[in-house]
Amino acid sequence: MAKFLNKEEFYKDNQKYSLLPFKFSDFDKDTKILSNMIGEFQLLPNSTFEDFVNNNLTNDNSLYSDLRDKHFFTDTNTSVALDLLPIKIRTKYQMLSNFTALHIFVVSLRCEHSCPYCQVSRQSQDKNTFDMDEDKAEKALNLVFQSPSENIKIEFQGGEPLLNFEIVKFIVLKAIEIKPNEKNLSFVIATNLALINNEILEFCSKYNILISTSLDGPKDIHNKNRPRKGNNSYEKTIEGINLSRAYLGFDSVSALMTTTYDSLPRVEEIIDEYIKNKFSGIFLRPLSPHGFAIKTKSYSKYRFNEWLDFYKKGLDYIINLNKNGIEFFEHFSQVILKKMLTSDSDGYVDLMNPSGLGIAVAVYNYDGKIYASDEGRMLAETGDDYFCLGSVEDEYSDIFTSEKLLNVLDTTFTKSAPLCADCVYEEYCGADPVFHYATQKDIVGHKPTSEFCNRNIEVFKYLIKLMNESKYVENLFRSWVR
Amino acid sequence: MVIDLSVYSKEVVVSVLHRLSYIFTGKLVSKDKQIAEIEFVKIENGYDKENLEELIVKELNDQILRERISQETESVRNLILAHAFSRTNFIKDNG
Ligand code: SF4
Repeated sequence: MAKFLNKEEFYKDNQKYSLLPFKFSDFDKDTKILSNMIGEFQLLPNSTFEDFVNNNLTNDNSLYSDLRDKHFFTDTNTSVALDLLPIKIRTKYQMLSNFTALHIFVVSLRCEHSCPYCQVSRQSQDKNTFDMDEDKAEKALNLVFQSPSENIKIEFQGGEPLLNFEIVKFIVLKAIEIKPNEKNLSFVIATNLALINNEILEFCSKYNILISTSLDGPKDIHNKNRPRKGNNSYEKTIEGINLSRAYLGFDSVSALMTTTYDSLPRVEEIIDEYIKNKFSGIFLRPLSPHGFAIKTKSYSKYRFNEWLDFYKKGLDYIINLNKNGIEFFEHFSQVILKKMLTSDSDGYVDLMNPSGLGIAVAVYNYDGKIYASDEGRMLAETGDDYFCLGSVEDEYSDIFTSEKLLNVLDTTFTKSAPLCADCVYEEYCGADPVFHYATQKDIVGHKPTSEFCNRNIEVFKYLIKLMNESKYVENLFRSWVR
Repeated sequence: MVIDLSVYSKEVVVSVLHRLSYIFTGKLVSKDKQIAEIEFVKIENGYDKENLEELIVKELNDQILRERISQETESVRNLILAHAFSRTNFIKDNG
């Protein structure tokens, strides 16, 4: 008679585990992907998945402890998940209690560039019609400081905000004057830098104002994207970056690129341009579908597949740069990886859920109207005021707790939206009502045919695939979110 | 395509029709209490009825499993969420 039970008998007793909430989907034809409430994910071969959900996975399977450590089940050995999950969920949603932190002031619609994809700018000298005045700026500031957020960031946008630098100065000084003690205040100017000069930079330096500029890639791409008199936008930008860094410090200047049809085949050169100018990363942004971009057909010229190739090629290139000792990161991936690999998120509005409209960002337009997001005000410039929340004349509570805003946030919440509610990638995704309204005339959106949805799924899967295939990439990605 | 509603609830079938609506538009027609039929209104290029039926069966089974997991973990999910938000100021105590 055998003295010991055979292995199968042993695990039979040991196999009791209780599933914790999770979602799943096909990852490829042989593999399932699982994710849970805190965004932990796990790939499982189809047969292992079958065993797992039918309570037949045994602890001699190497994936058993992975699933347990990532809180996909509890067993007799550990029930720590029941303590840890609530803490991690709370951390994840903590930013909601902060409410609106980013306040965008559109101080002028005027611009000396005439970029074909730009949704809002005006080639006009008419200051009275297209510039924000002191009265509206002051009323807007009074609303800003009613936000419960401890940290207030004021971002100046346009058009070109430096065309109305007088009002920028007024707002900065007034904000400092009326700021409640307990609030932290910071400023950013989003500018093409063509008009930057010593006087402006002295002011910026005195009040710690950061610069965010646009750099679309090598000279020919940048100048084609950003026509201006003299055809020297690129030269002006590079000069401006160097001058700003000299005044404000190296890290006080950041750059954003706009992807256009001309960028698509040239992602490596665009990344090289960023490295040449000593930026530590790049944001491989999709072209927004809003406003003039739709009108001018720039958006329909390239569908998401072409952008996806651009993004994947760029990311592969960046990984190789890192392998060769050049530290560099990609920002869109970083935002998503933060959600995948930590309990934190960085409040990127397009990937927020509930949507960040009004509760993460508010836009005070030059004419006194208030919009729930920058894309919302861009849409307004094409004649659709759907995302207008009111005006600087209104009461704070009427604007930020309006039925209209709450309704948008509620109905688009992905935890209850069709398809999203069951989606394995939901923890990494966002609601983006403005995108869906602009492309499908429906704030919730029909996700099975939504480009936003398809694009995001492809990006999520690509990041997971890369991490799954290479420990080096996983470690690199982890370093981007630390 | 005939569906046995005692195996797949109407909710499960509707969610699968929605999930797959990027490749076909299907109408759910009730035949009697137990039986319904999916009528294919429009099918996108590259698909035919046969491979769609296979796909639908797979999705129906996945959706049933999703519902099973969701039911099996409902009480623990509620417990976790209650703990998660019990010490925040997200929810006002009206008591
Ligand atoms: S939009 Fe798509 S990817 Fe995002 S949560 Fe919804 S179904 Fe998932």
